[in-house]
Amino acid sequence: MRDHGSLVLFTLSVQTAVGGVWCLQFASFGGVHIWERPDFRYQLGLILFLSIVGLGGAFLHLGNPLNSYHVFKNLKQSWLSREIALVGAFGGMVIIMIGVTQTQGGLLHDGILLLGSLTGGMAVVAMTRVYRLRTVPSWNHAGTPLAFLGSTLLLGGLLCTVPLHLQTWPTLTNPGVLAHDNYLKVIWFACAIAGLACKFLVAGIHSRTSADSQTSPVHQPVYQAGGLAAWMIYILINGNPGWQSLLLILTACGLISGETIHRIQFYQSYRRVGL
Amino acid sequence: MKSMPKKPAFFLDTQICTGCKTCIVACIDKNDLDTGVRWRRVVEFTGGEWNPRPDGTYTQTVFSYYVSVSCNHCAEPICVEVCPTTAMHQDGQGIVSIDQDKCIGCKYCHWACPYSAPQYESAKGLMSKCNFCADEVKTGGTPACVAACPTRALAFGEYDELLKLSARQHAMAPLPDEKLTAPVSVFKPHKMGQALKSTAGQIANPEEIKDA
Repeated sequence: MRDHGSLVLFTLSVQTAVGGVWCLQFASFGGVHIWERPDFRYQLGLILFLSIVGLGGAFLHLGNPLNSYHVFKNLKQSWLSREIALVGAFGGMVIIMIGVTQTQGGLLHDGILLLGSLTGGMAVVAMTRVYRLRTVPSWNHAGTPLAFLGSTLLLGGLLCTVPLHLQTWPTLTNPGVLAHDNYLKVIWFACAIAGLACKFLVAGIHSRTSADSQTSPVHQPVYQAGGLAAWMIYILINGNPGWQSLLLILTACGLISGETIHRIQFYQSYRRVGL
Repeated sequence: MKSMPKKPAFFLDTQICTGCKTCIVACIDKNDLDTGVRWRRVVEFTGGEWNPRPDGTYTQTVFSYYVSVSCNHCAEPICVEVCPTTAMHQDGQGIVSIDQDKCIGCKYCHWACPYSAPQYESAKGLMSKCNFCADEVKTGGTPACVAACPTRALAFGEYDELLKLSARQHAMAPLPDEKLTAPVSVFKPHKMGQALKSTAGQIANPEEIKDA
């Protein structure tokens, strides 16, 4: 388990991308016409970029990527095979979403977004199942799906907030736009809080099941709490765009560092039964 | 001329295994394995203590025994189950082999196998594993590890026949619980053999058996 850097990149990138689509879906459920928003295409672009980065990370992990056209041959049994298929399908759905942003859709748009959210959800489920090996008790517990769900919500919320901020920079003085965007910011912050709640539950499970990690367990909650605090201030203070950008950068640094440390700890906690 | 048994299996009498590791050397030599790639490994399990008695003398419960392990060609092979490409597959005789033309080197089989049977060959970027020296066996020989064993602790043959050589099989530390993968191999326990998941002993040579 020494070469887990590429897997950290793969899992976090794909989970962030899926979380981004979920957050757009929640906003859509909340009555926001996201397809009409100018920042929507930026968000989808970032989601596609992260999906591609994730798949690139997965390729880096392989000893012989030239044979990877065989990976769909064991869909019947292997969760790894299903995971790769579903992540690929999710990437395809994002491309379709980007393609249809130019068209007048309405119901079609909402249907495609829902399908993308469901495909992403299934990809995250497959991703958690990959690590639920009966011979690896340090991973085979409820903490694994909770941790992945937490990362998906937490980083997804962040991913959606960044392009929103970039897009609304010039319009921050318009009270109507501000109110609407604050509504979105709160929805996505709520996603992140739900993600963090999952993480707290994971911490409880993790302490009961194992694991001596080489990275200090103190760092991760500190980074994440700092990131969330900065995010909350970012929402509450609608003032100087410069300060807001700084707060968003602090949020991103805190949350991404915390998640990366947590994921590294996850791979380091690998303990198999037997020899 | 002998042929491959209908259900081939390894047998190890841990009572007479001296831990000399000739089996490992023979396996590496026969299969021309890279440094650090070991299809067979010998685990030393040791423990016990010295207890003082009131009269100043001591009693002891010290034990040490060796378990030579390779792929057990399990009846429920988790490596086959998890492999995304079907490179890891099991034939009608229960032999688990790897088709390197399909392997992507993801190492997932290695993560999952509780015996560390699939080994990663970093030079090729592929997994490899014990195949009972099928070429030798087809021409009437025995696997290299069995042929080389100086104490005849290792044997190879028909699983049902080998089962008769041991009253119980496999239920011994440091081997994993056989319910996990249903290994098709027979381990005759050592007289000091510890129960599964025993905390009375420990693997004495972790550096030697760890993965490359």
